[in-house]
Amino acid sequence: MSRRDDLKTLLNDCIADHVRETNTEIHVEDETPLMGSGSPLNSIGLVIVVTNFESQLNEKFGAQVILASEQAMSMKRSPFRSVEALSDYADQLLAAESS
Amino acid sequence: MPLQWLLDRFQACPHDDAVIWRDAVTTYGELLRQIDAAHEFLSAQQVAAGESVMLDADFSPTAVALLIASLQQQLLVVPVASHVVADRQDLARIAECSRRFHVSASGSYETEHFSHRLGHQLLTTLRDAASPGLVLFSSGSTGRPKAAVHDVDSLVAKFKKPRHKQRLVTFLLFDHIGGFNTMMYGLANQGCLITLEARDPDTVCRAIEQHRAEVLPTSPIFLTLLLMSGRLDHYDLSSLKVINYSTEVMPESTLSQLNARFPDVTFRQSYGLSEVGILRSQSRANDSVWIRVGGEDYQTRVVDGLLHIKARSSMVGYLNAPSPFDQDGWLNTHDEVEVDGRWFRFRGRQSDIINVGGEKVYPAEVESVLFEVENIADATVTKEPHPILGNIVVALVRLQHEEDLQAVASRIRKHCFSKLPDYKVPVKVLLDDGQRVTERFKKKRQD
Repeated sequence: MSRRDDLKTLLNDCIADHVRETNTEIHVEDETPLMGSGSPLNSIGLVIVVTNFESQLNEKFGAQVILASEQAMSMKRSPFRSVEALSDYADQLLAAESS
Repeated sequence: MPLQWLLDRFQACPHDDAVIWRDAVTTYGELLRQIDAAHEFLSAQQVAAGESVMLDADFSPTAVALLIASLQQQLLVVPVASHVVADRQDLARIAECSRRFHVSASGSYETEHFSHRLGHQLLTTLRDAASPGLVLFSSGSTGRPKAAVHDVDSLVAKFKKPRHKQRLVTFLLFDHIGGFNTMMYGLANQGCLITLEARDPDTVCRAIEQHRAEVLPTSPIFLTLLLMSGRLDHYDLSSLKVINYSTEVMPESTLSQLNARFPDVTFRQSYGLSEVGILRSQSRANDSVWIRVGGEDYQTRVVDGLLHIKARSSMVGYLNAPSPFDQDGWLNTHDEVEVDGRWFRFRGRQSDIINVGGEKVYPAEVESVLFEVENIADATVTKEPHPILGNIVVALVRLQHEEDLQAVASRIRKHCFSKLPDYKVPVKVLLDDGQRVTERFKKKRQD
C-alpha cells in the first residue's frame, strides 16, 4: 500500500471515530467534500477530524506537519475539498518535510 | 482603641475555645493574655502608629494576637502566609514596610528591619487619619500581585452585628481576604478557629473529625479533590453543618455529588474579591449554582453581562496599579454572570472565556462535564488559536489510572457531544503534567 493510500485509510478512520463520538450516520467517499455546503461535517466536526488526522499521521510517520494552517486556508484549491484532496495534501506536506 | 468591641466580646467568654492550633486549644481568656503580650512586644520594638509592618504568619494564636494588637495600635498590616512562596523583599518594598514580624512555629516573634519609608498617598492618608490598615496582595493567577489597601474600620464594621457562634476551619490562607473574613467572623461571634497544618484531604478531614468543625469555608477545587481522594469515608464528618465554597465557578457535577454525600450539610457559595471584601450570599438551593449576593453593605448591577459591585467595605485603592473603581465607586469585577431576577449564576472570568467561531465557551461549564467522564481525576479547559475557528477548546486531563490517550479522548468527546453544543466539545485532549492548582486552591488555566 502506498503512503497516499495509508493516509486515506487513516483519514477515513478519523472520520469513523468522529461518527462514533457524535452518534451520527455519515457516509463518505473519496470525493465527499469535508468543508462547505456538500460536506456531512460541520465546522467543529471538520476541525476535530483534521486535528486528529494531523496528530495521528505525525505520530505514524514521525513528522510535524500542520494541516490546518493559514497557508491551507488560502490555497486556491482547498485541500479540504474532498477526502482524496486532504490525503494528497498530507502526502505532499510529508514529502516536503522529508526532502 | 480600635477593635475594643472585639476584645469586649472575648472578655465575655474567657473559657470558650478561641483557636485550635496543632491540636492544642487556646481559650478566649488565653488569647486576651497573648494580645497583651503582643502589645508589650510592639512597645518594646518601638513601633509607631501608622507604620507599615509585614506579618509573616499563619493562624496560630500568637499570630492572631499580634494581628489584633497591631491593628489596635493603628499599624498598617501586610499579612503574608508563612508557607506561601513569595518574594518578601519585593512585597515589603511595594507596601513600604519598615519591618517584618515572623511568628515562628514555637510562637515567638522574630523581627527583620527594612529601610522603606511611608510615601504612598494611600498609606499616609490612613496613617494621618489614625486608621488601622490592611494590605492584601491579590494572588493573581497571572501577572504581578496587586496590593489592595483596606481601611480596617470599614472592612470589619459588618462583623459588629452578632451572628452564629460556630466552629470554623481556617482553610483559606492568613493573607487572603477570605481567610481574614473567616477569622473575623469566627472571633467576632465567639466561635472557634480550627487551624490546619496542611491543606490535603486527610489533614482537613482529620481536623473536622477531631475538633467537631461545623463550617468548612473552601474552594470548589478542594472539594473536587476531596471527592476524588476517596478519603471521605475514613472520617466521621457528621459535625459539619455548612460548606462554604468560593473563589471559582463550582462544577455542577461536583456539587451534585457533594449533595449526595452530605445530605444534611448546607452548601453555600460566597463571592468575594480582595478589592471589595466578601459579600453575604445565599444559594437558591443546596444543589444550585444560582446565588444572591449583596446585603446591606453592597450594591450590585450587571453591565454588558459583567457584574459590577459597589461596597462600603471596598479597598481604598491599589498601591501598584490604577484604581479599578469608576467615579461613583463601582468596580467592574470582569466576572460574567447570567441573571434571573435577583439571582446570579457565575459563568467565569471574562479573560478565561474562549471564543470559538464567534460562540462563547465558559471553561468551568466544560470542566464540569469532563468530571463526569470515567477515569478523569482532574480536568482543566483552555484554548489554542486555530485558523478555521479562531480558537479551539483544549482539555488538559489527569487520569486516575493509566490508559491510552486516544481512547480517553474519544470517550470524552462522546460524552461531551451528548451533553454540550458542538462548539464546546474539546477538539484536543492532552495529558496534563503541570501543577494546575495554586497554593490558594485556584485553577491555573495558563502556564
